[in-house]
Amino acid sequence: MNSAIKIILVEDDQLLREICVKKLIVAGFNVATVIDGGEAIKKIKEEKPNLILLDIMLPALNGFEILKKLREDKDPNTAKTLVIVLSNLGQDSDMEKARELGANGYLIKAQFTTDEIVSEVKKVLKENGFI
Amino acid sequence: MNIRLNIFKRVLLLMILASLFAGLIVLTYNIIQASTRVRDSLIEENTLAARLASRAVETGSLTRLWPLELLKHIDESQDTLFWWVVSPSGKILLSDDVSLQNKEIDNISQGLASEKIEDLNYYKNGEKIKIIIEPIHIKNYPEFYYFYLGISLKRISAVQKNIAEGSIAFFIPIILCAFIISFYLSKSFTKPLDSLMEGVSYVSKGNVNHKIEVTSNDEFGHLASAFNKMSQKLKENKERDELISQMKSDFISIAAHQLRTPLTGIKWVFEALANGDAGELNNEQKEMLKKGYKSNERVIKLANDLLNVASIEDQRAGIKFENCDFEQIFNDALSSFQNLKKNKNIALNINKHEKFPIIYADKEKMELALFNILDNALKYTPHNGIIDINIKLEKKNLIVIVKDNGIGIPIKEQNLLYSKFFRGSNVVRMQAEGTGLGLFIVKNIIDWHRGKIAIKSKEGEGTEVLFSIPITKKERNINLQ
Repeated sequence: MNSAIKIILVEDDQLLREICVKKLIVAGFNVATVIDGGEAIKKIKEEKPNLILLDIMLPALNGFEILKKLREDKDPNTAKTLVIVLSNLGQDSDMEKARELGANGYLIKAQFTTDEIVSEVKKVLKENGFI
Repeated sequence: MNIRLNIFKRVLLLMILASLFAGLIVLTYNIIQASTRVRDSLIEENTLAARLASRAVETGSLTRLWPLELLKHIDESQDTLFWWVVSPSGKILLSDDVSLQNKEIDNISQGLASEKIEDLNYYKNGEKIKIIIEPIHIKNYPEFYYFYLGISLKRISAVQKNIAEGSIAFFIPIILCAFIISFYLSKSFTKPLDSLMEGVSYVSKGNVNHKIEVTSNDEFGHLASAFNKMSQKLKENKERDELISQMKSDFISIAAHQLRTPLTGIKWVFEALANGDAGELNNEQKEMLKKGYKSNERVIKLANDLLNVASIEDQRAGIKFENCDFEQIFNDALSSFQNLKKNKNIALNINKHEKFPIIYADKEKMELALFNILDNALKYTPHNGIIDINIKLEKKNLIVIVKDNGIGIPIKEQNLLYSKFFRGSNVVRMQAEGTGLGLFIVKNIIDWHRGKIAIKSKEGEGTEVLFSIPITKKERNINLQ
C-alpha cells in the first residue's frame, strides 16, 4: 500500500542517508534521495513526492531556504507537499522558524531511532489522509 | 527637558530682578538725598531773601522808602508764590497781589521775635508750600511787623522727577541688555545641555551610534567630547558583545550538528544491527550492542545538556516569556518522563489540589526544568522507589515539590549542587548516568523566572526539590526589584 507513497529524503550525510532510505524502503515507501540543497527543488518538482524529509544544514541551499521556496512557489504540485524537518539542529528558534515556514513536523535526528522516524512519517501521512 | 532649561532661565530672571531691585534702592536713595539737598538750599536761599527783605523794610521805614527794587527781585524769583508785609495787627500792608492789601490774616504769629518756617497749604490751589515768616523790627516801635514769603516746593519735585526720569532712561537699556544677554547666555548654556540630554536619552535606549556635535572649547565642549568617547566605547563593546554572542550561537549550531550527526550514525547503525537488519545476532552480541547503544545515548544526552547550558548562558537568545498554560507544560514534561519510567518500577504519586493557573513563563525552558527535576528523581531512585509530585498555589506563587526516596545527596556536597558538572560522590560510585548539568540548568531557569529553589536531602533516605515561581508578570517584576 505504501509503495504508492513517494518520499524524498534530503540528507547530505552518506551513512544517515543509507540507513534511513533502507528503513523507509523496508517500510514500503517509494524513496528518492537528494544530497545537495541546490538540487533539491529541481528534484522535488520532477518527482512530486507526497512527503519530504528535509535536513537543514546542507550544501548550497539550506533546508529553511528550500522550505521557503517550496511554500512561496505557486506550483500546486509542490506548494502543499508535506515536509518533515529531520535535522540535528534543535534550538527552540530553529523549530519555531521551521513551524513558521510551514513544516509539518520537526524531528531531531539524534533523539529518534529510525523506527520512530518511520512511525512519525506514517503519523503525518495519516493525519493528512494519504494512508 | 523644560525643567532643566528653566533652571537657567530662573537663575537669570532672579539676577535681573535682583539688579532691578538694587537699582530701585539706589534710585530711591538718590532721590531722597537730592530732595533733602534741594529743600535745604531752597529754604536757605529764600530765608536769606526774606531776611534781606525784612532788613530792607526796616531801613526803608527810616528812609521812608519802600525797597521796591528788592521786592520786585523777590517777586520774580521762580520759588516765590507770594509775599506780604503784615502789620502787628495782622493787616497786609503790602503784597505782590494788590487785591490782598489791607486784608486781615488769621493766624498771625503774635509777638514772634525770630524767624519761623511753616508748612502751609497755598490759599490759591491747596498746594503744599513753605512759608517763611521773618519779623521786621522797626525802630522805636514796640511790636513786630512781619515779612511773609510763600515759596513753592516745585523745585524739589522737579529735581525728583529729573532724577527719576534720568535713572529710568539709564536703567531701561541696561535691563534690556541684561535680558538679551541672559537670554543668549541661557540659550548657550541650555543648547549644549539639550543636545547632551538628547544624546544620553538615545544611548540609554540602546542607540549607541548617536554623536553630539562638539561646538565649543569650554566645559560643555569637554563634556560633549567625553560623552562621545563614552558612546564610542559603548558602541565598540556592544558590537563586540554582539559578535561574541553571534559566534557563540554559531558555535552552538555547528557543535550540535557536528557532534550529533556522527552520534546519530552510530545510534542508527546500532539500532539496525540490533534489529537484525544485517543478519541475526547471538545473545552476547546483542547484549554488547545494547551497552554500546546506551553509551552512545549518554553522549547524545551530554550533547543535549551542553547545548542547553550554552543556550541558557546566552540569555539574550534563550529567553522568551509569555502567558502559558502550566497544565500543558506539566503534561509535556510528564509524558517525556513516563517514557523513561517504563523500564523502571517506580510508583508515582501526583498530588495537585488546585486547577493549574496560566503562568508567565518561558514554556520550553520551564518544561526543561521540570523534566530535569523529574529525571533526577528517577535516576537516583532505585527500583521499587516512590516519587511524589505536589503542586499547589500559595499566595501568588506556583509551588512544585518533587520528592523521592532515592539515594540522596551527601550533606557535605550539597552546597555544590547547582554548579556545572557537579555529581554526588555516591552517584559516581553507583555509576549512574548523568552529566552534572541538570540542576545547573534548573537553577538558571528558575532564577530567570525570579523564582526560588530549595533542595532538602539526606543520604540514603531521599531528596526533596521545591521550587516556586511567581505566576504573573506583575509578581515577577516585583521579585525583580
